[in-house]
Amino acid sequence: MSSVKLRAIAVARGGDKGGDLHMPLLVFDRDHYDAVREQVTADRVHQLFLADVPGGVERFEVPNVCGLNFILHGALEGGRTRMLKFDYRFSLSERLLDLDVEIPD
Amino acid sequence: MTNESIRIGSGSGARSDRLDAAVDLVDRGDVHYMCFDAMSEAGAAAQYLKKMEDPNLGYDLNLRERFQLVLGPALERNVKLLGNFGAANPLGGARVVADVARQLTGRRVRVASVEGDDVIEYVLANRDLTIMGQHDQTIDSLEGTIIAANAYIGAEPMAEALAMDADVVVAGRVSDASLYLAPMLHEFGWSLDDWDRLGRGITVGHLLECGSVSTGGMWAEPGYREVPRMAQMGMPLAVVQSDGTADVSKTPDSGGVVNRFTLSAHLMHEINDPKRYLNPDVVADFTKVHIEDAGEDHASVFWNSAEGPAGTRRPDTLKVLVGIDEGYLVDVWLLCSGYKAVEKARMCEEIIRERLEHNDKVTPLDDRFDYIGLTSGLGDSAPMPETLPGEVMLRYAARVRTHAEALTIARLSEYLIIIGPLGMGERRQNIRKSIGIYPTLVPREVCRLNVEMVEVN
Repeated sequence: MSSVKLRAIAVARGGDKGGDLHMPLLVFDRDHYDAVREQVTADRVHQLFLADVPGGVERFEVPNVCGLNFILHGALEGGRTRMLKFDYRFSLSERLLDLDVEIPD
Repeated sequence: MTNESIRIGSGSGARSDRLDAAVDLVDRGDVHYMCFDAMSEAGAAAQYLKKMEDPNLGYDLNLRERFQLVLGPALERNVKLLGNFGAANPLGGARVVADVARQLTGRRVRVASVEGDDVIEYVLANRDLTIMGQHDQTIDSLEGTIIAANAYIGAEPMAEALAMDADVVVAGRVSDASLYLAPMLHEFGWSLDDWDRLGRGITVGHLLECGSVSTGGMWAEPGYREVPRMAQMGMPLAVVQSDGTADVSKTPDSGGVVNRFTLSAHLMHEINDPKRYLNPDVVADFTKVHIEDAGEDHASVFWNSAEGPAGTRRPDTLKVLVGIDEGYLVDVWLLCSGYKAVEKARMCEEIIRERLEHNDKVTPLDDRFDYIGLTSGLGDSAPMPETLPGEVMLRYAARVRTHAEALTIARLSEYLIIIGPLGMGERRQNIRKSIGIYPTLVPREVCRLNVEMVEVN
């Protein structure tokens, strides 16, 4: 096993639905998918973004494309047309991609 | 009418998308249909406000300029144009398109508008509707005034408009992916309860609806992924077969990139449960689709029937976005530079806090401070950087009930440079409406959809 930044093996892009921030993660190589699925849990992502996610983090698996779809509930404070925070829906995922994961050699 | 295959392109992926991208796709893409998503949740709020100011407005403000550019070339090549650019006022939008058509060409042009997604009367009469995702909270419990309520509607009325020989279909709050399903319904004659086919069509539509986001936008990463010619980014284009399978590429001779990764990333864009993507036309199952590379800047999108249908029965309810006027958002920005810039910004924060505490004419409903250059784009949960920058923008934002309160706060930025610490500089202020957008569900029958046709020349 070796340790890599998620950024080296995956991409994450943000989006929004009302007050929720969406952060799907796409793993490029199917050989890495199980490792990412085991290590990048909803709980780990919740801990990473704790102060920004009042409603918690939900995760859906999208195995046909080696994807994990994270929903960060409440991260956009009721939506872009009323939030006081900056529109960070496309930038917050930068920190997800900085996570370290162990992948098979 | 049943055809073997059709070519559908994306004309815009957002309200503020480039205007020339659609013209390039008409010129070089050999498309039969082009669909425009021009209405985000935030865009909808802006259009509701426009319509309140002037009932003739409320459609996408780029509409006239967009059609002045694209309508001529589209008519010449017989490309049908569909979009949700009618926003809060589809009939008004159709009139603008008809007006452009009258000036542009001598040929006959048929412009359809799809009305009926406005359900504000129903919502006002049923304030006990609950907000989606917040089961205990009703619309009635929200602070503020209801200014709009529009339902996400499906492809059926747009397909009907195409059957009436429309050249342009101007709709309002239709679901993004349904824009793309409409030509498939019309051309392939799919039954409205063929959930597998509809699920496939919605999947393909979803892959196209955000324009260049599936063809190389939001993709380049220094040191990891290069995207060629981003300034000439192409738009997605699909050759869709009558069984729903598709070859997805982009505007010929354009920048950007299309492959299984760009499309797979977009498959997950702004969805919740991938097995149940709730759409007015079908509940699509995005876990059934296969996406594979098919040559340079081409990807193949297909299904294996043995793995089950790509969709199931549509919901009995429609999702409605309720817009609530909650007052004003006011922003004050102040550039702090030089020696101990961050510390100076903190001094300004203290001054703002104290000034507001002693001002009984201003009571923010909620507020916050940001230090732009430290953690503003990375969330409140981000760690502080180890070395502090030599300049930082302090930003104070508040929600207030009245415009007078907003003005009082906006003035802060002007005098802070005089009474604050040494080394302040550029300051800005901004006041805008605070519109809450709350989703709820209404019975499907509440929407009485209606297609109107205007013919010019």
